[in-house]
Amino acid sequence: MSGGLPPLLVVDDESDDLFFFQRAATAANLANPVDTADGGDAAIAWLTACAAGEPGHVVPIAVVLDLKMPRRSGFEVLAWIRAHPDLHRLPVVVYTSSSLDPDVGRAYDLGANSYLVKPVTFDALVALIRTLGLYWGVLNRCPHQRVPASAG
Amino acid sequence: MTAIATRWKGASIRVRFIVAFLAAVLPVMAIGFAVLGASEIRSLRRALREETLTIALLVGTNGAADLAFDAREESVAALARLEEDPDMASAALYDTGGRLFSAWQRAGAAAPPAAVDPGTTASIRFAEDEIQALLPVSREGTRYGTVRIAVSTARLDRRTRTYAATVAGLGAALALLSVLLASLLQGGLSRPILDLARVADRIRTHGDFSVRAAERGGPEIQALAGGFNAMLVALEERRRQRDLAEASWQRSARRLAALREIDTAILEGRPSGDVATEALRHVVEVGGVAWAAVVDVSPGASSARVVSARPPLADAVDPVATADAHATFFRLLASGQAVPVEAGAPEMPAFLSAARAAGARHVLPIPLRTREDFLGCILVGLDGDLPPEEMPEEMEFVHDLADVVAVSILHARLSARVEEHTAELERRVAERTARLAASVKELESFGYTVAHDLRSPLRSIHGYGSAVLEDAGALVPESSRAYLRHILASAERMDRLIQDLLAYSGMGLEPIAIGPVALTLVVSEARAQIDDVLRARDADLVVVEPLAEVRGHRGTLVKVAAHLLLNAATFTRPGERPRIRVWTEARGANVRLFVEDAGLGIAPEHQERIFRVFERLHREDEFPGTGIGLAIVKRGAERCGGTAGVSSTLGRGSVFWIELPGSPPSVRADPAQAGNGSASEADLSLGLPARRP
Repeated sequence: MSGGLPPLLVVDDESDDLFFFQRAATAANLANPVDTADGGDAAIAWLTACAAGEPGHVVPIAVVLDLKMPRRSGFEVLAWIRAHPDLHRLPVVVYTSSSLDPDVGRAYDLGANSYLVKPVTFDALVALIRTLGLYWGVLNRCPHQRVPASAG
Repeated sequence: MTAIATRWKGASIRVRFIVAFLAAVLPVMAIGFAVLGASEIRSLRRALREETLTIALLVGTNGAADLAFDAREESVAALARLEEDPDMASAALYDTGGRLFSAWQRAGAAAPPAAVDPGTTASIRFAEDEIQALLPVSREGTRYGTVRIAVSTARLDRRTRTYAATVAGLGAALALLSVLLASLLQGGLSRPILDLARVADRIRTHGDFSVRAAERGGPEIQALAGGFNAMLVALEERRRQRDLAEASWQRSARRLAALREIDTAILEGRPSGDVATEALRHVVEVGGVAWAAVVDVSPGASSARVVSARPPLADAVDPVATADAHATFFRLLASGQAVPVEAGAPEMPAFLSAARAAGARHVLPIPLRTREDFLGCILVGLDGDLPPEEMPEEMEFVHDLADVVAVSILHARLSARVEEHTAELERRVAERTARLAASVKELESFGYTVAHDLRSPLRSIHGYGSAVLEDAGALVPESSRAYLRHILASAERMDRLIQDLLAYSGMGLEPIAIGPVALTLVVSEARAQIDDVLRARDADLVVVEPLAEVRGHRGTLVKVAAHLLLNAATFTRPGERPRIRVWTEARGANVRLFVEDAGLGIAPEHQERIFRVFERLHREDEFPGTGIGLAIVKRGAERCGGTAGVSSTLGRGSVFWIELPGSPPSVRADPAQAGNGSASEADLSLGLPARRP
């Protein structure tokens, strides 16, 4: 974690997808660091630590959340975040391979801020992450950003 | 005249009789008496004249000597003797010189004249009240004078009066007689007529046809009275028959009303037991029926059950409670005849005892049957006064009631069967619905799995492939790099295939809401979605505005339109610029959206095939595509209640079309709805390479 910018938390059970994301993030020259959680449980543990202010855990600018995960699904994580007293405003970008209408509807119903379908090609992924970083990392103002510009 | 005619018409028979009588008798009598009277008077006068002449001759003969000898005193004395004849009025003798010689006259009578013509000849004439005769007095040819005799005609007058009185008396007697006769005749004629009138009047006022007119009087009157009585007999018979018919009609009407009541009960869906009870209420009202019961015989005649009885059975008695009763009942049923319910019969089944207790002496089974089914019977307990054959009307009514009860039992059985079937059907539907729901769920999860799990390794293939290409591309020969690019292209193609399949199956699964849709918006959205393809191929797309409005699902139609445009932009001869024209036409109540290309065209034998999934006419490396696009077009159009088709000439291009129900102007008023894309429509999987900035 380079001390400056808050991270982007990517939650996915597929290690390949985490790998591609990180690789594409590098290719896209994403300014924010990428933190990863390899499942719903790991994500909640990480976010709980963030909320508790534990060292090494910075509240991310946004959570990039896969939906279909074993044990604790993305929907559950999303619901958990929206029910959390401190983290309920955290931006959540659903990032999944499902383009089924019911999933899209349900994600928004639970309070997702965006819904992105995983592209197959690497170039498309790079383009997506570039846009993601620009939007959530630069343009968007997060609700919990205590020290916006002074950190940089 | 008219007044007389009127009075004549109004006159009673009696008056007519009298008048007729008098009119006939009196003229005859008057003429008769007149003729008789005239001849009588004539003969009287002749006799009187002769008598007077005779007297005159006698007096002249006697007086001749007195005249000859001038014996005046003797002559006067002789004349005076005429006094004795009361009719004599006067007598006188005249001498040859015509001078009065001697005379006599009754006191009060007219005196003879003082002189007469001496040469007078014999003459006789009637004067006012006497007949006067002049006669020459001569003897042996010598005339001595003239004699004059006057005889009173009082006798004649008396006779005439007497005659008139007699005639008047006779007339009166005749008139009286005629009245008597008329009364008598009228009595004989009009009394029987009045009798008839009285009888008729009595019939009229009392309606009593049993009275008869007395047959008396003449044969004609008797014939009349006889005819009248015969007519009365006929009338009485007719009235009796009419009363019978009316009574029968009233019974029929009551029975019809009863039948209708029961029909209504059936139509209202009352239980068949109620209907049977109602029917029995009417059966026992029939004369001669003391007891009745409806017995329901199960299909196959294996068991029977008393549905209802009247008077009701003391306790629930099943006719087949015992083997004996069962046998008796079915024997009774089979015979179809009235069987006596003997008082002392041993082991009488309970239902027959009940009939006997209610006063029945025979029990007649009346079958309850429809055209096909035997359903049971009505047992009718007859009091035995009349055999059933002699009460056809009653039996017909009971049979009618039996028919109605049969219908109600059949109805109840059918209803039960229908309910059973309905319940069974509902159970099956629920079962199948559950199975279907499970299948749908399964399919959905399958789709999800395909979407997620199948694409995830694809991403890995593509991701690592590109990583190798990027990291180690420079280390391998160009052929290996080409292989790597092939791997990447295959992964991309497979991803498109999966996405198209998902789009195609998703169209069959997800419920869509049909509403008015503006095709202009649909086409422009579709155009935007495949804009990069159109650009890449330098397509010349002309949309002939305005496009019509249709009824459908906007998201689905956008997919359909996009695939149509994509299809038109794809199949062109190499190096040729795609030329695409889009327009709509009204087709009756429907609208057709046409997408025309100037491309390769499709041979007629392939035109049906290309709308099926994975049907391709070209190799993938000739023209890109998954082979699902037109299947999506067809399914999407059908999901919106429309159709899809193509007309094409090989080598000259194709016109693809979809036909959809038109949106009537009244329901296109809501543009917000037409342009209201939902979140679900925002993501359209067209199997295109992702376009990202």
